[in-house]
Amino acid sequence: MTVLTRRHPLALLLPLMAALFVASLSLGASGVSLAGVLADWRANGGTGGGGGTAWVIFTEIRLPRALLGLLVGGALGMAGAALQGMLRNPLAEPAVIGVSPCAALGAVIAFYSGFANRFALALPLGGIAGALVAVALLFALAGRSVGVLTLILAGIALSSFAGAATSLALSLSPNPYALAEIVFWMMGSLADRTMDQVYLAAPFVTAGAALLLSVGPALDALSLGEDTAQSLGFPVGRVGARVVLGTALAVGAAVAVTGAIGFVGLVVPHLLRPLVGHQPRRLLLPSFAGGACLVLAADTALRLGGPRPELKLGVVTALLGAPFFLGLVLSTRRNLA
Amino acid sequence: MTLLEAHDIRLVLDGRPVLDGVSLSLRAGEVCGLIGPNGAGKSSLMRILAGLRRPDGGTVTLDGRPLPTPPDGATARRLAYLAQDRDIHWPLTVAAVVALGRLPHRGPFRDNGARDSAAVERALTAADCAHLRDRVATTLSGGERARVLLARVLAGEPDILLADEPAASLDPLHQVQVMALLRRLAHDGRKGGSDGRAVLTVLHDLNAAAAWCDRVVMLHAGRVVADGPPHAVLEPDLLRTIYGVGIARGMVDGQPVFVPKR
Repeated sequence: MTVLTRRHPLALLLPLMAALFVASLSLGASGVSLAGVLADWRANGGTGGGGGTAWVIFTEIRLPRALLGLLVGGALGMAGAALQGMLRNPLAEPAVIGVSPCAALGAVIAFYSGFANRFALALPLGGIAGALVAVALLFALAGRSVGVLTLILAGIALSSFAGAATSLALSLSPNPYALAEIVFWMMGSLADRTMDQVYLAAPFVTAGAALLLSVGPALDALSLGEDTAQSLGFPVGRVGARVVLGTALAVGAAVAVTGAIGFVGLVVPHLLRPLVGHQPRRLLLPSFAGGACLVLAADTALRLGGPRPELKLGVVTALLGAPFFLGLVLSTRRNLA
Repeated sequence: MTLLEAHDIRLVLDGRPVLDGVSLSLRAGEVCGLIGPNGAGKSSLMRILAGLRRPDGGTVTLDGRPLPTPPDGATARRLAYLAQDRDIHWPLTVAAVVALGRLPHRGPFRDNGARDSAAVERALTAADCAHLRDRVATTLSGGERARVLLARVLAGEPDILLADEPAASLDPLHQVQVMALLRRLAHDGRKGGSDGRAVLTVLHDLNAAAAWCDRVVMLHAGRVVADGPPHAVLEPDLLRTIYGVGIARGMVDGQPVFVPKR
């Protein structure tokens, strides 16, 4: 590792993210190339295209997919980093505080109630509503000044309740077709999304990320414990509330448009932490970039697989993430021994 | 000049009175030692004085105004608290830990500037841990860690320092260094026109209290039982009543020494 990347992992991650973004735009089942898209765009007078196949595939299929990969991966990575910093626990991830299971439940309710069939955005809106309800419940359960232990316990309670309610909705599902649709959605995927979903998710992810970035110094201060952080002028309760709200906005919107994509929020901060000298504040932006890289890479890789039906992204990240994480844990244990 | 003042502080935990009408004023230019047996309420009082906990009764004032609880940024620049527990949750370098002391002095999205770095360097040198700068703080010995965390507090250049057992688990040399440092911190400002800084430190070592403190406050069962110069407070009869063990006082090389009797 060079000095440059050791000091500023973003110097490595941003070009990588850009490259993966372009790769995601250039690859797909249709075999349309970026050159073809450009030719199509020129042929239509450079005014934003007029209906050439390549242009339509590019704007209607690939662009939303790549943008969502960026947003969703970034949201998951950064929320994971912020939560790990706040809880001072490398095992924390967005699911720990119950936000992602509740977002999934909200989306499932939208499915189940039939709203999802009536208008397209009901599903993501349901997910976002679920995440916000989770935050409201967390604050009600843990109190307005959010203590770490109560937060984790309340999060676990919320997670298991949301999981149970989701199972209930599935078991009461009126027809097997709807059941399959819900199950597939919950596996997490970037396929067949539209720009509408990008427009819906982007403001929430941006607002959530800004909120998480604003607590960076407080997360640094928390490295020395809650009392010390408070004495340095960072009220721990308010910091906790911001992290929870920021996570709910960013991850809630991400889950709402793509379903559950596991392990990104756990693995990415864990991987990048040594590169920033373990400083929680400096981990935030690299984790956004790193999460985006991971999701874009995984999503592009599973498209290369070829034969349909396409693998689900959430399944791939979990399949690859779990053994990888286990390896990481084992190697850390060896270092400690 | 009184910087920090507690008036008639009461604290009840689980129905048990922990602090019962404690009043204490901390003046500029003095090192004040807070002593008392385990469970006397010393740490609770420190946390209340630092604005980390609201008392059930009574008031704390900083510069004559109510102390913001929890402390705001301006308070954090003026008043620093060194916690008794020495947790460092991530394997940060010593330099990074000490730099955390500068957090109240800088904007949310800035790294440390030249002034901050200079303060960090001074703190590292003062606490005798400049040579540890690049070590990972979580791998240090208990005594080294204690000095690094003291350097963290010093880096913030506070006017009031509340330190909960800063010298515990230090070897004799470093114990003397730390106490001398606290004393210098409090007294140095006196020379340059200002009133100096105030230091309140919890101590268990009566010898250190006698040697280094300008004033000693003795806490017992949630009440202040004595408050004055060390030789008046550290009095054998009082010590026996408070600690429940006879403590012999003698003089060695012109310095008072205290030894618990068998």
